[in-house]
Amino acid sequence: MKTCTSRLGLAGVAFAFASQFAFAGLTEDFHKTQEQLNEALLDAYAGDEARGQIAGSSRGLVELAPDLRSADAIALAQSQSSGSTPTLIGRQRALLQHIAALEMLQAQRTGDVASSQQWRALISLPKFASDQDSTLLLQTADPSSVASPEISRVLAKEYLVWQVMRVRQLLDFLQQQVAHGRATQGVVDAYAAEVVTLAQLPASLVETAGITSQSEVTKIDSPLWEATADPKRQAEVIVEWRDKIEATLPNLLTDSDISRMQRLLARLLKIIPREYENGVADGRITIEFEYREAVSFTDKAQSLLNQLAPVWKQEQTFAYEKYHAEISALLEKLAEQIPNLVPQKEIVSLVSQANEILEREFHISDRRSGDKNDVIEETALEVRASLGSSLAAVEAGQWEVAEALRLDAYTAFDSEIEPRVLPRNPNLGRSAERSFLDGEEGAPGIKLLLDRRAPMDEIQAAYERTLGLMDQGVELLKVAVSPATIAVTTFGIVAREGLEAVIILTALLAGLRGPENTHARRGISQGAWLAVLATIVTFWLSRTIVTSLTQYGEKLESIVSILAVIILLIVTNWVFHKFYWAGWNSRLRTLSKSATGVTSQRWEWFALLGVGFLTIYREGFETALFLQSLLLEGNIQAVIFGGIAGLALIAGIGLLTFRYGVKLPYRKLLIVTGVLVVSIMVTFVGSTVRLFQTVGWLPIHPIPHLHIPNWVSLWFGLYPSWEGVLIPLATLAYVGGAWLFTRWYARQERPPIPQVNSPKRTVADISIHP
Amino acid sequence: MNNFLKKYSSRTLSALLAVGLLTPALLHAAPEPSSGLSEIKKFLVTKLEFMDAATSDFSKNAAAYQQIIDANGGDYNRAALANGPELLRLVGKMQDDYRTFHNKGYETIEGVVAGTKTFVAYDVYLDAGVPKAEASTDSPFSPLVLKSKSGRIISDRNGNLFHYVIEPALWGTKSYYLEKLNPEAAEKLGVKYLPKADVLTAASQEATVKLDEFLAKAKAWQPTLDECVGALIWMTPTLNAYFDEWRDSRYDPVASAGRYVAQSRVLDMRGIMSSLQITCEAILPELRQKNPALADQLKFEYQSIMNFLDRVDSRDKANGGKMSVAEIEEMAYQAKALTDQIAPHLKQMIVILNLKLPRKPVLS
Repeated sequence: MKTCTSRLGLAGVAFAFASQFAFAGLTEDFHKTQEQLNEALLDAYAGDEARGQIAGSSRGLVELAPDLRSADAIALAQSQSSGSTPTLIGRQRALLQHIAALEMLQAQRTGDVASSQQWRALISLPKFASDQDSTLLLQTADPSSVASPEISRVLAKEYLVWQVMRVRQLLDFLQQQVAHGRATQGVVDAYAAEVVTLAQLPASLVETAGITSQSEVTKIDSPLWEATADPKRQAEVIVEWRDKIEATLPNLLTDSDISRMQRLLARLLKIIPREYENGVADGRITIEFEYREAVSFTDKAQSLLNQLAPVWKQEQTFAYEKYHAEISALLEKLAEQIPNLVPQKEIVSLVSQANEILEREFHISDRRSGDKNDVIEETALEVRASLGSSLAAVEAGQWEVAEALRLDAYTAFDSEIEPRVLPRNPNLGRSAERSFLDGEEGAPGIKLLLDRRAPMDEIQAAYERTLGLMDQGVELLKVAVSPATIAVTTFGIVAREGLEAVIILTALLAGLRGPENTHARRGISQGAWLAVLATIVTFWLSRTIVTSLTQYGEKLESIVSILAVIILLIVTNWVFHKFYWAGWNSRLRTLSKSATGVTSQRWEWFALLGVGFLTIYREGFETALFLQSLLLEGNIQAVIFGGIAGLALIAGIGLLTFRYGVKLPYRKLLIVTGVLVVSIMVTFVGSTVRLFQTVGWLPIHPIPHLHIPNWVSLWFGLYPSWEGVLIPLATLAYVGGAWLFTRWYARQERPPIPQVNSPKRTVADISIHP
Repeated sequence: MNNFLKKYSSRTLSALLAVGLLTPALLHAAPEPSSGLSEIKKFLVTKLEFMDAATSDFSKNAAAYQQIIDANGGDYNRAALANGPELLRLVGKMQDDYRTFHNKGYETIEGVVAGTKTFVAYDVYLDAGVPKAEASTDSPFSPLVLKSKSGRIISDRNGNLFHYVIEPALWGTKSYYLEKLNPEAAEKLGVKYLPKADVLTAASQEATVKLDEFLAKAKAWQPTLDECVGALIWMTPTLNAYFDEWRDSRYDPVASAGRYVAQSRVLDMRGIMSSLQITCEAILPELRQKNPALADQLKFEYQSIMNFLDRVDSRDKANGGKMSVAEIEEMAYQAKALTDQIAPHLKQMIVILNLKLPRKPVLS
């Protein structure tokens, strides 16, 4: 028995070898038939109709028939047709494809992996065909698993996608030939026949692919094209005919497929420049895997564009006709330029143009609207859901689906979460990204394991690791928008600006004591209240503008943040530089004195109103603008809380000063609030650097092994990258240097101390020289 | 099925017999190397040695040519009148040398040279680099600076050595490299121009030095699978661009004559593709172990490209080079289809062999 089994086994091996040899002959015949058809077509074009007829007489195809195993394939090989030589050749070129596909499925269903692979390899592919996933489906050591209906479905659908793409590429070629006046009757006959036959997808293939919409291509004839007709009419005939063909092609995409693919396309376009920037610098590849991602994402984007083309043609006809070719050319150029390691700006320019067309003309964007925190939370949920579904697909043995869902999850993570995590914690950001891809030593990434068809427990561990890292990132982002920081910052700014206003107002009013100045004091007070009103209007107006621009996300935040930093720099100048403080103070006092000297009562009132207004509005304007940045960064409750606390303090100081005439330690108050403003500025510069890094306006150079606790980042604006540490510290050094310089300068300028008693200083003479 | 067995039964029986006979021998044979990478290196080194010999000959002939000109005090007219036939014989020999080291030599290894990072600089220097003024990211300039013995600048980053110096000098397409003969000398010699001796001397010496360096580098080369697959990935699609040029040349032969003086475009394409075919076949044993179907298909596809180019060449030569527009367009389309077909299969190979998608070799 044992001997018998081993003999049978040997016989099986021998048969496998033998069929391999035999198949090699069949493959050879197949290629020979293809080459003969191509030559015959050239002969026919050259006017050698006789030679063309011999090769194109379908003898090759008929000769193949006895060697085929699928009944449908045999029927196709034996089918007869009539027409001109180019028509016959075109038809046979297409039939060869259907025959190869039917044979591939026949072999796959019987578990004959080698034959199935052979037939699949014979199928003509369109440009930008994506076929690696199904390759791996047939690349298995277990032939029994190959025979599954799910693999039949994937292979059949893949074939339909390829041939639908080929139909469109052939149509493009034919249209170009006609448009350039290069088409002859033979060219139109050959290509029309090939297109019509290819579009007549065998029913069994369509059924196996699980496509419900059936085409009715049998009704389509070749176009009624006449070589002698007017060129314009010739082109119109082809366009009309193309529309008929397009209408018969099966819809291979569901609504959710379309929306997923559109979103993915937009996301890929957003990610490509970033991957490129991370992976390539000065014409050199700096990080290999980032570069590879840029290349493969570009391939993927091209493939998506091709698959979406028919949908857009039907649903967004105008945009499709006007812009599809342009966007396609841009992506082709992108695919050419990335391997040339061109400067980043060229890649950005190509992608921006493509993105602009997608957004403006096709209304496709990856941008999510709404509050930034909601976006992060929503994205995290989406990533979690996609990875969950991906893992389920792995369990079901649907590797291709698992990979598609992994890519979905990765692009969502990469576009919304990773750029925000990177400036805060580059190591975590990169680890999380790698865990979606090839992973790190001892912790292989999801893609690597999916490619390897790794065991379920390893894959599950990778998914959990990835989700864990993503969660750490999301937690980091939540902490980074802590309401407490926002509230304290708001309080600091409102208190400081308010204090300045109170002090200047006090100084002004100090010079206007006595009943004879009641009118002047009233004018200034009215101006001050008017300024409060104007500040509220300014706040509302700027809030409205900023809110209307929220779709620009972190880019808007970055710009507003820079404005806030400028405001803070002005404020710190006030803190340390006598010139600004004393200059503004004395200007206002001069103005108020001039106002009281004006003869016209009406003009005097206006002038005093103006002085009061300027005193308060200057501070109010700064505060209103600065708060916009905080509102974008944090949440409104925290800003309101901090604002009320600051206002309460200022109201208290104002009450004590104006109502009860209490002399407060203004100088000390200014010093305390000044220090607070400086610390706020350093923190703010740090968060601005982080924002700039998030939107890609500043690079990220991580400091290896540096761990900065979250609270340090929050309160001191320091983040673990060279930019995130050095820029805030440089700002602090600048402020410190400026203060030292001011002191040194003041000492140089200070006149000899008079021996006589100097008059008592009033609040109006305050200048801060700590 | 019966027909299938009937038709292929003889092949099957032969195959079974072959298996039966060969199996014991195969079992005891030494294991085959895991890849044929050493074959690619051997091919490259052999070709470079062949080219090296031709450039040495070119140097000797250039020196002899220079000697005649020098003996006549640098006067080309006097030299033409005194030693005309010898000068023409030497130019003819140098043209043969060029055909040997370029057409039969370099063109057959160009695919590997231009497709691998290790050697791409030689491709730019010798064969592909354009003048600095015309350079772009896609098309780098050749850093070649060529000076005569007297210090005269012959070429300063003004294109590669083969197509911008040697070929135009030997075939007389660039006046800068030529000496115009007076009517008497021209009539006696039957040509109006002679190549400048110092150009040929400097160019031949440069070619020898550069090829010696190239050969040494090739001998030290340790080819990797990634690198060789990279050459296939990056160089095979260039057939499209070459074919587009070919198509344009059919429509406007004069405007696009350019560099194709010493050989036709089709032969140029054939040379590049043949080196890629050799590279591919050297890698295929590795692939065949994992996916024989794909290995066979790639083998067929490269062979199809070669067959196709042969057919184009014969059509090119037939009917005095006349072709209909439909023929030209169909050939360009078929070339495109061949490369469109092969590119995804090469990518499949990368996945199956678990290789990294190699980067395009560019000069950094």
